[in-house]
Parts: sequence; structure tokens; C-alpha cells
Amino acid sequence: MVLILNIIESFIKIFNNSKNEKGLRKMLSSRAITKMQAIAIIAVVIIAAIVGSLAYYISAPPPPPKKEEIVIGCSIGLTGRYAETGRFCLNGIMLWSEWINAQGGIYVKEYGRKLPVRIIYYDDKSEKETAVKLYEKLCTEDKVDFTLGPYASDMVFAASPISDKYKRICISYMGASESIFERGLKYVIGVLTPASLYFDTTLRMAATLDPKPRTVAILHTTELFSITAAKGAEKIAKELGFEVVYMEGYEKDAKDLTPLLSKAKALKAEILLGATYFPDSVLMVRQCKEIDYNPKIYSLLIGPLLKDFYDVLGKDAEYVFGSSEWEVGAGYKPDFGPTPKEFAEMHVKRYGYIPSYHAAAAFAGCLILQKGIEEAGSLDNDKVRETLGKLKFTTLYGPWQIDPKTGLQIAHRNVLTQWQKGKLVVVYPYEIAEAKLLYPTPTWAERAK
Amino acid sequence: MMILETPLIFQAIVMGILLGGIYGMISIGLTLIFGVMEVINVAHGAFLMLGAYMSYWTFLFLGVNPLISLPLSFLLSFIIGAGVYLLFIRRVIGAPPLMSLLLTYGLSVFILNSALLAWGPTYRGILWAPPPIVIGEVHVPTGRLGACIVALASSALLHIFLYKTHIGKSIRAVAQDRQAAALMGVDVDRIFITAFAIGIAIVGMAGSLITVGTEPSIQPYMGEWYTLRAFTIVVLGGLGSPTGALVGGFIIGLIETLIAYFIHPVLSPAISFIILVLTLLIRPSGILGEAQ
Repeated sequence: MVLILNIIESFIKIFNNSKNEKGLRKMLSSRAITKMQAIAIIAVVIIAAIVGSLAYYISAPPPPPKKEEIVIGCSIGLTGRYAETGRFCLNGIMLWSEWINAQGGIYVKEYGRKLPVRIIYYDDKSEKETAVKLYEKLCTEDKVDFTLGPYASDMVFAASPISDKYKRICISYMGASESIFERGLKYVIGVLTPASLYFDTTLRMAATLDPKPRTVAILHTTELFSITAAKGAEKIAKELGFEVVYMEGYEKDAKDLTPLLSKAKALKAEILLGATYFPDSVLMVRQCKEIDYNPKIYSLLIGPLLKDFYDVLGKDAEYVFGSSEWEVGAGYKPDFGPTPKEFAEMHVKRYGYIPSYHAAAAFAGCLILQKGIEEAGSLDNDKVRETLGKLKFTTLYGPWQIDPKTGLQIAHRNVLTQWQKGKLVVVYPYEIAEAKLLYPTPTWAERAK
Repeated sequence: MMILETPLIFQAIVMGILLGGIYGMISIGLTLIFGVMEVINVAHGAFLMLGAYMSYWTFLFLGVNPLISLPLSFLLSFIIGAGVYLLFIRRVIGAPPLMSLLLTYGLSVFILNSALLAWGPTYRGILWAPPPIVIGEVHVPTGRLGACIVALASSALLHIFLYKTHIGKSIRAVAQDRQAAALMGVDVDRIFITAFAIGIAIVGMAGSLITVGTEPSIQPYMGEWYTLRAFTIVVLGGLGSPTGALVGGFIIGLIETLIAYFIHPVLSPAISFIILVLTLLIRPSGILGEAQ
């Protein structure tokens, strides 16, 4: 408020100085300001800044007394390239904090009662350097009890060592690459299916088909998550008896994937695996149509799971398979916490849209932390970490168990979805499927009819 | 990873040329503004994005194909450009280049975040994907072809404007020598407004072209990738020369695509910057710029 008044004050000063020459018109066309005006503006800005900061500190609420609450901190990309999915994750986390606080909080035996939780979050702008700084802040200034990871493997990779440095658990609810867990960090905990297994369900599904497709092309970006998923897919494909005829990387922001798609087409790859993010997944489908490349199976990551995929591609999105961490329609029966359906209803009621796996994973990540605290009976990070290493359970997100030494998730597997008639349905594993899968994908020429 | 099939070479060349036309169009606005008033417009990508959104909304509400709704993008971007000039850019004319850099950077941040606030980070797209035109073994993407043709037509129109109309000649005069032009009776301030507005209008049009030419997904940060490319092309072609921007666009477009097809896709951006560095070392004024 004070700041605004000071800015208005400075405008009036400039205005008055030029009042002699037709006021507003002169103000808009003035080229330079006099030295006095410059000094006046600088002085005003400095005073405003000082007064503003003082006002902020004086009016800031007193810090909460010791251990009346559990403080959990994280950074998320709310602007920048991870903006949309970052927001999904944040909503999942906040939903959990509201849900658990409505029950009074988490019961901690050490204190003999339930303690409410408080989430501190910052926008890391989808930049690794910013995330690193923010985690330092969370652990040192904000003195959080536990941390949650940021969105995307590369960000978690950068930020998790910071939490480890301060001996804080870091729940990586959104970092799937194994390399995060292979560095000897003690406190990072995985929730998602490891990146290298992302194409596991697609390939296993393909192996059940008759006639079985033989050739695979794997395209991936040069990001950590993509490369891990692609290499994993290559390994699984060979194990299951497929022939990987082509594997190539491309820059994430590439505007032209026809070089790779043309080669895949020339090599007659029947299965197209794309370790994509969103924009490239759309581009890939679009350009397959442009060069008339007709793989029998399109299986892409991340992109097909968003509603935007169908909005941008329309009917061209049909038949595309998405390997999904989680869908609302997955029939898991949790040991504690809400069922997938209950969670989805909560989410729709609070935010007005159906949750994607991002919110579910974030919510589940918090549930896991909650379970760890409850079972350990303490807020001591070492005790909670040790306890989590021994636990095994199912939440709304699916089965959960970590490797006690590295924190890598070993129980969770993806579900395979497919776009059919404008809807994304779960088609594999057959036991929890909502609909029958469509194979093979008709050619573009057939689709045009 | 080289697969040398003859049809692949033709496919690569076609894609490269089409991309080059679009790249050229994107860069003309930037070079025009710099050539005439020596303002470095870092907010280039932001205006590109605005142009793309204009096409998107037009398509959504009026059902008009982006290639046809271009005049609307031109008009709206022209008005926005004039407004931006009068409110902000005018103050840094004649000031050191750092000033225009800072100002346009601030503008860029402001526009991007306003777009993020207003429209959210949701990806949008224009559902217009006609089947490709097939010539032998080469598949020519219709969207990109249309965009390139329009880009070339617009460049031709711009050329006619700059060389055959009175205002166009005045703009070139001011670009050559501001004071001499003023002495000749040219209202320099008015020319600046016009030139900047035209520059932004062209950028807006290029943004509309991108939506069918290269970028199916529209979101607030989409323009940023192009800003850097545009700068490379402008330096290569010669700062201040619209023809140079077009030529530079074709060169970069072709080289990037050929390298992506025949050496490795990941190398193409690197090659662009190697070209930039080489240009600065060998001929800093660019291909069609005035030699210093």
C-alpha cells in the first residue's frame, strides 16, 4: 500500500514538472528527465523499498511455537515449461493437506497427539538452478520437517541432494528416472514407476497380440526421463523377442521430427514408441500423418494422457496408446486413504476437474509420508526413512514398496490407456481394463474415409 | 545413423526450403525494427505468441483458417505495435542499446506472464490438418507449404511497400540516415511509429503462420524458442535488411533440416549457433548487410 502511494507521488512530481507544457501529452512524449527528477525518483523508490520492507516485517505473523505442526516444503514449476502439470501436482498436495487437517492432522506417537500439517511451496519456474536455491531456503530458513520433490526427473535430480544434505526426506512423487536413486542419496523416496519400465506395459501388451508385431522404433528426447525410458524399452523389447530397428534422440523443442519419422517409416517399424513430453507427442502424430507413416501401434508418453492432446489433434489422436502412471478408472483397493474414485470425487469437488495422475501421485506421495510418520511414531527423518524401507502397501495410486537401500520404487507398474472415440480408456492390464483395445491402428488413408 | 535414400534427400530439401520461408518471415520483423530505429526487440517471441493466439481465437470463434485470417493478425498486431511504441519504445530511441534490451526484455516478461495469467498454461491447437500433397516419394505437408507461400507473398508485398510507396521510401531513408531524412522533411517520429508497428504486425503474422507451419501446440511460452533463431538469422542475413532476413532464413532452414536428416537431429540447433559465430567472425555485417 505504502509502495503504491509512493509511486503515485513520483508520478505527480513528474507531472508537475512538465505542467507548463501541455501536461499528459508532454509526459507521453518526453524523451528524457532532468537530473533533479532522476534523483527524486531514485530517492522515492529507495524510501518506498525501505518503508515497504519494514512494514512487511512488522506486520508478518510471529513464527509458530515449537512443534505445533508438521511443516512440509517443496518447490514446483508453476511457470515455465512445466507450468500446467506443476499446477496439477500442487493441487494434489494441497488437497491432501486439507484432507488430513480435516481429520486433525497426522498422529505422532512421540508427541502423543495429532499434529496438523502446513505446506510451504515456491515456484521454481521449471528451472533447476532456482529449485536448488529454493530447497536450500526450505531446509535452512523455513526449517521444514520434510520435503517433497519438484516436478520432473531432471528437477528432482538437481534438488534431491540438497534435501539429503540437510538430512530431510525427499518424497520424489514426480521423478521417475532411476538415476535419481543411484547416487547413494539416503533420503529420497520414489513413488512413480521407474522411468525404465514406462514402456513395459506397452511391450507386454504387444507380446499378447496375434499376429504379433515384430519391429520397434524408439524415439526419445535428450531429457533424462526420456532417455531412461527409451533405454529401458530397448532392453525389454529385446527380452520379449522384438527387433529394435531404429532408436534415435531429438532435441526436446524440435519443430520437425520428419527426419526421424521418415527413417522409421523406411525401416518399416510396426511399433512406434515415443518417449515424449507434450509438444513433441503432438508433433509426432501430426507428422506421421504428413509423411504417411503408419505404424500399427503408437505408444507415446505424457502427451496422450492429457485432455489437451485430443483438443489439439482431434480425430488424429484416436488409437494412440498412452502409458499412464494412473487413471481414475484403475480398480485399486487401497490399504488406507481414499480409493481412486473417492479421491477423484474429492478433487472434482475442490477444483472442478477430473484429476490426472500428477495430482494422484502427489496426493499418494503425501499419504506415504503420512504412513511413514505414523508407523515410525516420530518426526525424526532417519526413523521415518528406516520405517518406509520396511513397509509395503497399496494406496489409491497402486502398490508401493521401495528398495530399502536406494529408495527406488519397485512395486508400481503403469497402466496402458488408449484414445477411443474421444475418450481415454484403460485397456491393459486386462484385469483392470475398462475397454477392449483397438489393434492394429488403421492407416491414415483408411481413416480419411 | 545415415540412411541415404534418394527420396529422403528430396524430402529433406523440400522440408528445409519450406521451413526456411517461415524462418525468414519470422525474422523480417526483427531486422526491420533494428534497421530503422536500432532497437533490439527481445520481446520478439512474445509478439509471435500473441499472433499465434490471435489465429487460435479466430479459428475457434469464426472457424477461419489461419492462412486466411492473416490480415486480422496483421491489423491487431499493428495496433498493438503502435501502442507499444508510443508507450514504451519511444523513450529509448537514441539511448544506448542496453536500454532497448532492458525495456524489451521487461516487456517480454510482462506479456508472457499476462498471457499465462489470462489464458493459462493449457496447450491449445488449431484443428486443421489437411492430408499432405504427395509428389512421387516426397510428402509435402500442406500446412507448412501454405505457410511458406504466404510468407513469401508477404515478403514480396513488404518489398513493394518499401520500394514503391512514399512511406516505404521514407522508412528506408530514415534507416539510412536519420538526420538527413529529417532535413529532407520526413517526420521521423511518425516513421518510427509506422515502422515499429509494421515490424510487430509482420511478427504477429509470422506467429499465425507458425501455428500451421511448425508448431501444432499453442501455449504462452511457445515463442521463446524462435527468438534465438530469429536473432541468428538476422545476424546472418545482415542487420536491417529484410531481404537478408529471408535469405538467412532459407540458409538456416535448409542447413538445419539437412543436418537433422543426414547427420543427427540433435545437432541442428548447435549448427545454427556455429553459423552465427562464424558469421560474427568472418563477416559481422552479415550476407546482405553493409560492409563496415
